[in-house]
Amino acid sequence: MSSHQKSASRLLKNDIVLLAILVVAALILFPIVSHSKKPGAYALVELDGAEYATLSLDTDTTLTVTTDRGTNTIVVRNREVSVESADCPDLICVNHASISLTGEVIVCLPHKLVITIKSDNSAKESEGSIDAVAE
Amino acid sequence: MLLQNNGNKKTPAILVAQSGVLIALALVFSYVEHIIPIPIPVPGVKLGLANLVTLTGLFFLNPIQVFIILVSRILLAGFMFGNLSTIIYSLAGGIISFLLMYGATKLKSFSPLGISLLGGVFHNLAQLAVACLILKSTTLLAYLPVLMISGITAGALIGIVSKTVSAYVNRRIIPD
Amino acid sequence: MIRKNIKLIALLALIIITAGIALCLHYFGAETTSEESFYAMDTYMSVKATGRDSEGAVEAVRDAIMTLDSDLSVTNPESLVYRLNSDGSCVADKDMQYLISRSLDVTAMTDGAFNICIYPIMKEWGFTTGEYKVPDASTLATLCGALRSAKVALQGDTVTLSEGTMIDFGGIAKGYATKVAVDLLTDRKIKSALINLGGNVYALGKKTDGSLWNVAVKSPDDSIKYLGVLSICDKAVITSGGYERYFEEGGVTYHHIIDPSTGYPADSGAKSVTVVSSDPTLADALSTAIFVMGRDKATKLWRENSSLFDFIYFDDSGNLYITEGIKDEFSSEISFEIIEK
Repeated sequence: MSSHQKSASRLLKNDIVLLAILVVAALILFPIVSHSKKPGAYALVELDGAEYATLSLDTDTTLTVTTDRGTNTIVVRNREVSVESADCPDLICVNHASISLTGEVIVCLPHKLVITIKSDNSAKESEGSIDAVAE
Repeated sequence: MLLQNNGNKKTPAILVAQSGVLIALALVFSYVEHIIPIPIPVPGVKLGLANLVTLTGLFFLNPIQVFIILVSRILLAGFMFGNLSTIIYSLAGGIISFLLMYGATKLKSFSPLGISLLGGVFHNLAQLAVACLILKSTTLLAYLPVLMISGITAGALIGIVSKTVSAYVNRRIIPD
Repeated sequence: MIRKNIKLIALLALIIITAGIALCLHYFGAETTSEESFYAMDTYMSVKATGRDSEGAVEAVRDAIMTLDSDLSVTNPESLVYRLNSDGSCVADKDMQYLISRSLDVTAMTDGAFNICIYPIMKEWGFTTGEYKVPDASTLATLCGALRSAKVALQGDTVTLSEGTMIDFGGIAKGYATKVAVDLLTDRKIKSALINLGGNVYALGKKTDGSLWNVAVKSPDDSIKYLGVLSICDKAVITSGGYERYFEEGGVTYHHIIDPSTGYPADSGAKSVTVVSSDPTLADALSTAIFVMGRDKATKLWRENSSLFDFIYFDDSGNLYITEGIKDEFSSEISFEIIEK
């Protein structure tokens, strides 16, 4: 017990070093993931890891995605994307604030749905102005 | 630490009763968190009250017993107020943070606070990794810093509470 | 008296004005864009429409296609098709009458390259269930013989199948679903919509900015992304390719487009066939048929019916052909040959 007490200050020091490392790591990661956030051009909707739809932020749209896992209604309004309603258990996607800047994400884990805001020059560029693909 | 060796003296009846009480306690913590969610709309951000049982348990009980309590609580909570996917996320986070916290107690170089920090952060990192695998998408990594900060905060709070609780547990609750 | 009248007139005026405003709102209300996505007929579908009450319109389309999916299922014991296949006859509803008469037309038109009675052969290959296997030659020969004598008769509203015949609308159902969607949207005064039923595309009207819809045709191999892009309105673009569903056994790839005359996957030299037509039901059936027929027979068929459809043909050696009717609508990174009348 006495050796334990003796080392108590050493332990506290280690704790503080660990805390500092973790906080610094998080602070370094912040700008990396949220680098150059600027108004996005379109929202990419992914379902189960596969690209499912792209919604331009220019036009106000409602997209209802129904799978055997459930339904999410995605709304584009005034260049902002939000999930208006869903039948998932946690409703995190519905409570999420609207997103509009590149890299911002809304996820619905139970429905395996991910909505990401993309800028015009990524991926979409090569698609040109293609509205649909016959396959 | 000393009491861990005394664990050998415990009869199976005491072990079972003790585990039962602690699983029930952890379940109550899970339930409280379930009915009072934290109003931050980022998946995975939570206090992890039930981790208090795992963390404090690691200082007094056989790690295998703690592990059994952890897994039982996750499964029960999952069946009672979750679903299969919440069980998968909880198991991933729970097991990884358990292993790290157990390793950290063996190292003897961190106090409960530091151990709890490690547990909190890696619990969230493991869940994020599983979510990326399930969704087959790396876009979720945008949440990485937020989840780290939330893990640090939750870990610190739980660590402080555990430290306080330990002082009492040591003297009164665990039978020799 | 006068005062009473004034009250009455005021009341009437109020009612008329309210009704007028309500009517104006109804007829000149703001146009919105709605998109509905759902899973039906084993594929993801999406319908995007712009107009007044676009939301109601796309929901109606979704409901109609979901119903159609279960009605046309060959595996659902509740469906009319299932009953027809097990009993050999049934009283057809409107959908089925249309599907059967159109199918028979296309079978006659293509000399049997499209045939709804191919179901037993598809089943033997496992393409209906996903449990793929290569059937033995004698089984296929027997089934092909049966297919040659198979008869589907539609008299009034009664359909009768000859002994042992089973049908499946798989090769035409998505085309018909497209037609149902187009009809529903047109009824609801939607003037701009894009219907994409798992890669079977229909562009209704023009885009909201007045420009044509750009529909790309997927490339069957990885060398390029698209065979080309069609700028169109009020047309269906439907592609058939062996790459859509296939399996490998003993180093050989077997795809799902079966030639009714041999019972084996079609080997006409086609790699991908796209049919462009204002009639989606025809486009769906013809895309399969042309894949089976090959370029020469398809060219002959097109010359006889050039007002009905156009096609884009990509062969095994990487040559791209398009018919004259879409030469102004089609553009491509790779060179292509125009088939003239």
